Amino acid sequence: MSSESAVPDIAILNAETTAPPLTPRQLIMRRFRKHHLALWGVVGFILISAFILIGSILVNNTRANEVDLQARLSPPSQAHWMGTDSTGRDIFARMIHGGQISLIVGFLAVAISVSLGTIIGGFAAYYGGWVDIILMRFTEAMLSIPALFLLIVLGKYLGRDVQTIIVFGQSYSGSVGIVIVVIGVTSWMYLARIVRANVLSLRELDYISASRSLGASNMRIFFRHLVPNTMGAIIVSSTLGLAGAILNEAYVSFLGLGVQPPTASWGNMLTSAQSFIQRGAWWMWVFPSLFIIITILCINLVGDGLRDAFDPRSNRHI
Amino acid sequence: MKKNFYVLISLIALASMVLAACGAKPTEAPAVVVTEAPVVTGPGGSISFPEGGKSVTGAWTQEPDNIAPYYTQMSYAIWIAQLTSVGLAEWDDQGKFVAELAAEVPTAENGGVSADGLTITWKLKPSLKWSDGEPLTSADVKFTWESVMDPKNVPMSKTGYDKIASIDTPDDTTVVIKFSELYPPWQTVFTQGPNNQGSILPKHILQGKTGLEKDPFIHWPTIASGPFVITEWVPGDYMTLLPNPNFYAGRPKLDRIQIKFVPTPETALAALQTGDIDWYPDFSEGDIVTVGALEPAVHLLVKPGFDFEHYFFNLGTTAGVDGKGKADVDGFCPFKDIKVRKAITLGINRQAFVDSLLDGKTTVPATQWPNSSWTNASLKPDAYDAAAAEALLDEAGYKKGADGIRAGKCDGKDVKLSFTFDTTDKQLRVDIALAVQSDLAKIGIEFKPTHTPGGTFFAGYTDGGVMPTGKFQMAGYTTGFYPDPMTGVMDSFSCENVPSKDKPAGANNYLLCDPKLDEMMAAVNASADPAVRKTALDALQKYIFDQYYVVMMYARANVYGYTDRFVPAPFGFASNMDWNAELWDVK
Amino acid sequence: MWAYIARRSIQALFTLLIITVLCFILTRLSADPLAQYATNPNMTAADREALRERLGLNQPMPLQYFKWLGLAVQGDLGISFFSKQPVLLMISQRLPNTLKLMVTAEIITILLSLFLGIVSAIKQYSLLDNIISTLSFIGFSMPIFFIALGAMLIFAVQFKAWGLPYLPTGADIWNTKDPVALIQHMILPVSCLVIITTAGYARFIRTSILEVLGLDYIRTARAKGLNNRTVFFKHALRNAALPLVTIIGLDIPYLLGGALVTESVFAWPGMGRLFWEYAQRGDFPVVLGILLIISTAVVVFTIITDIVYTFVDPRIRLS
Repeated sequence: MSSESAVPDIAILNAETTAPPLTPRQLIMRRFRKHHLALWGVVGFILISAFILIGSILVNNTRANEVDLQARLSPPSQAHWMGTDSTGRDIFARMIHGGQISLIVGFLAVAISVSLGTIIGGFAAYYGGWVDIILMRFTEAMLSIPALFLLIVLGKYLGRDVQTIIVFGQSYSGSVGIVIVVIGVTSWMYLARIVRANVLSLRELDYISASRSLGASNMRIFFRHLVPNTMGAIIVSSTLGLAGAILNEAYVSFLGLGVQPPTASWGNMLTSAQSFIQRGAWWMWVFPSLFIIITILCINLVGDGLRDAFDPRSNRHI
Repeated sequence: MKKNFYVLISLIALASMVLAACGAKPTEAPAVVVTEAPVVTGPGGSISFPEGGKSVTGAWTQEPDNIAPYYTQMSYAIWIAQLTSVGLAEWDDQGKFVAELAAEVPTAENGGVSADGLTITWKLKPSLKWSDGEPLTSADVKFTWESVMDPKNVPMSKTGYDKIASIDTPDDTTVVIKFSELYPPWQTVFTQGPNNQGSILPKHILQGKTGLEKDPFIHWPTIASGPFVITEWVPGDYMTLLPNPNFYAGRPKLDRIQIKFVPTPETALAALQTGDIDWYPDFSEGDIVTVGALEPAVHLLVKPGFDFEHYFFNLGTTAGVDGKGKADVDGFCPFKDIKVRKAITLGINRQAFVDSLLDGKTTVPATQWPNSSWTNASLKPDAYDAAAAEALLDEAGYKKGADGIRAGKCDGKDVKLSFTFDTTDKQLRVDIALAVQSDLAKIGIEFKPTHTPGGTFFAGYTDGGVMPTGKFQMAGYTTGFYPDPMTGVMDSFSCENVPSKDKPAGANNYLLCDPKLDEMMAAVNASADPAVRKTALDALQKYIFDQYYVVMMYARANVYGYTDRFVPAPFGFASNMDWNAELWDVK
Repeated sequence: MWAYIARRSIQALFTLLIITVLCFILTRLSADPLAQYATNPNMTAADREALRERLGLNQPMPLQYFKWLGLAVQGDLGISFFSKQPVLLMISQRLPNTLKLMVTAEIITILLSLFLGIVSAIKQYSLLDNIISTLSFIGFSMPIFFIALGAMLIFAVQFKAWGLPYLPTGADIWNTKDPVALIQHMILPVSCLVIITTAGYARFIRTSILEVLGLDYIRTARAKGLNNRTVFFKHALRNAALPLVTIIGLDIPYLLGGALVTESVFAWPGMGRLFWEYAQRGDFPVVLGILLIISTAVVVFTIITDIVYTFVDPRIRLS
């Protein structure tokens, strides 16, 4: 706004009426910022990720596996900030390593499940007919197969052949890969149904038939038009799916079927902590539990914020 | 068009199901399940639990499959069987063989054992009765043998009973057993203990029935020869036992025993603290300190036992020895060299993890017969000696590489001392494997533990189990050879029991074939004289020790926790806690 | 419509067939039913072989499957290898216990989440909304094993140790048919289940209420002069609750499966524990029997849900 302007009001009026409206992305961001809890979630998640990432650089993974029988079951101290576990390994180092596992498993499993869910649900709705029937029945079948089974069987057959995976110089148990695949392959069903419902209503729209009559191939229509318009559901599902995947990993590792020792995971750290609760070794279970809960809480809050933000009808106050 | 298609498909589906249904036989078992409580009769009518009577509750972390003897191998079932059935004799808390249903133990002096050792004569106590009032006679003993050997029944084990040629019953209280060959472990036949199930089955109930492994009476015996009778069993939940008034030693002191089936030892521990249960018999050695900390409200009992935890090597060879004992695959080549096996044994600091992970509550045994009078007392376990281990490995030709792992040549091929270790996923095993990994890394060996759940780890040959198929390099688990020192030894070590596609049921998990070992094992059972057997067993123990075939990790102990109000009777490991439940009491 | 149901039923049969094949393969591959006899030195090789043959475990796998299938279609789910009891009997003994637990938890969850969802929708972004959201999200983010074990140790074990009124651990002997004992023993497990599922339902209700409140016909109703309360309960809530009904319909089959960890921590004699304990033993008659029942329920309720969709939203056509 120029202070030399003779008639500033008209200029302002003109500017406002001719200013471009906010883009959808900006609208979404604005709605997201109104959701205060979601903002806390973002802060929390950034802090935990920083802990894990910076920790990984400063503390080598081998520290997480150093056995020291003399120092077993010691409470937090100068030497071991979070105490030691039943074989004397440093819990602080294991928390960092376990955090790596949680994030890796979470992101990769969600990537798999979101891809599968989008493609299966989308194709079922788009092509219809036999494709729809077969894919939807397949979805129901997957809903009935317990993930725990797949973990036992795959763990038995692949667990010995794929002993360790080395990534960026850190070595992980092969069971991490198995857990990622199993969680990914057993969590896509809900998203598939949602995507299918969305695409069912979208495919009848005019601009889709217009694209088709222009000669666009099915793939192009699918990935260029339908999927981006389902993005809201996909993003929300990915975020909540991330929380679900991390929770799932903790659950199956706790049961002993997930990430196998000696690789640390917050879930399998709790398995061993169980036997020592009544012995007073609170540090063995407090830290993993706290981190699991806070991480999942933050991701859930962010996901909830995104769900509100993407839903155009959820703003009575804007 | 679409409609026709659906009709066709549904007809095909229906047809295939009908075909499958026709092909299947209905389940053979009499699907009759006992749903009402059997009546316990005694002098004065049926027994029930009086208000305010003496009752104790135990926690079991596994629900039994069958209670009747001969048809189960589960410890949790056998511990209940010890409450409901008795045999001719048993081992007491001092490890002495004492009479139960018998009037006295047969010996050479009292004429019970014949001069050639092939005929054993038992005399029963007079006027024995089952809990339903029927007399318990020698006919029941003979019937028991006949039903175990009946080809239409599939008991868990026929060992020993298959060596009996005949049983005579000249009168109601005399049983004359004639063995077909010298059987030194004759004391395990018709006797009941924690590792042998040999008590008497009732002829008047089971006569004429076959397929007993599916019989409801075998699942839930409604009459008892022991101090208690099972009167209630709510599946998945709990079991109630009431005293047997016809028990030969008199009515038990308690008025009721109840067993609650809980999922985990942690639940049992919590329940002990609140007093919901009175005892739990199966804590892990790692829980000793936790339970001990609960004194004086909860008492701890640690009984070292005959079981031991051991790590062992895959010693299989596809060529076998003298054509015997051929395995499907060859074991890990470096293990053939005794220096490597000895180096690994010396390179594991066994005493250190016993002191720390097991809180020093048990010992490192030298041989496979720990804590028993059969132990070769002259053998002591090797002390930890990393320097000697490294020297041995250097001698054997394995030098440390740049990555810290030793490498060398075996049978002409290059090989690194890096191998896998398989075991179950119990927390204590995970921790010990970690300690071993760290110890062996110091002498240049890469030890890679893999843990699988028990149902997968112990799978048989046809289910692809790692041990029978030879797909492992080192493995570890717990076993024990008792009550007779040779129980199961031949099955575990002999050439003819090496599992392979020709012999899928072989139990020699070490895949070991050593003819000299076979000879020495045969020598132990060549005579019935305990002194002669002991000498032969000492030699056997020394041989296995010198060959370093297995690494003995620690002697297992049974860990019990019980509340202050419960007063159990004295027991030793050979006899286990339930052996004299008629003496249990509450304060 | 009937043609649709008939078509879906036939498809359902195929789905079930494929599910049973997959689950059979997975169960047989995961554990050996005879593994428990492996280390006992009392059983000789011959004994184990005889047992394996008697149980039919050395036949080829497809044959074992078809034998099972043939009996299953007649309604006979076979006999458990381990407990020697008929599978149908074992399930019928455990199922009522699981239903008592899960149905109670589900009803309380629905009522509680309706209340929380409505309150937070009406007062969106207020302090109350934030507090309710935070608390329910914390509950939602807790792993079940943490909350179940913690609740048991605090309210059952520690409260008794401190002399406070305490709840049972579940490891005591009690009669599942006694109403008083049942309620006492249900308090902890039901609370745990409610805490972790309420937030999910509550957020869903909140979102769908807000969606409906933004629609035109609500504005019309308000413009007509109806007060807020009438608008809300007569129009908005009805329409917002319908999606919830379909979500509940999809979750019902899993009520049959019970909650594995909850039942384990509180020693509840139900289906979850049955499944877990017998799956580890490789006892496939029991495991397949349970999976068959659950898959049938999944398939049936999916069909019901799809039909309900058409009543809710006439724009959706049954293909």
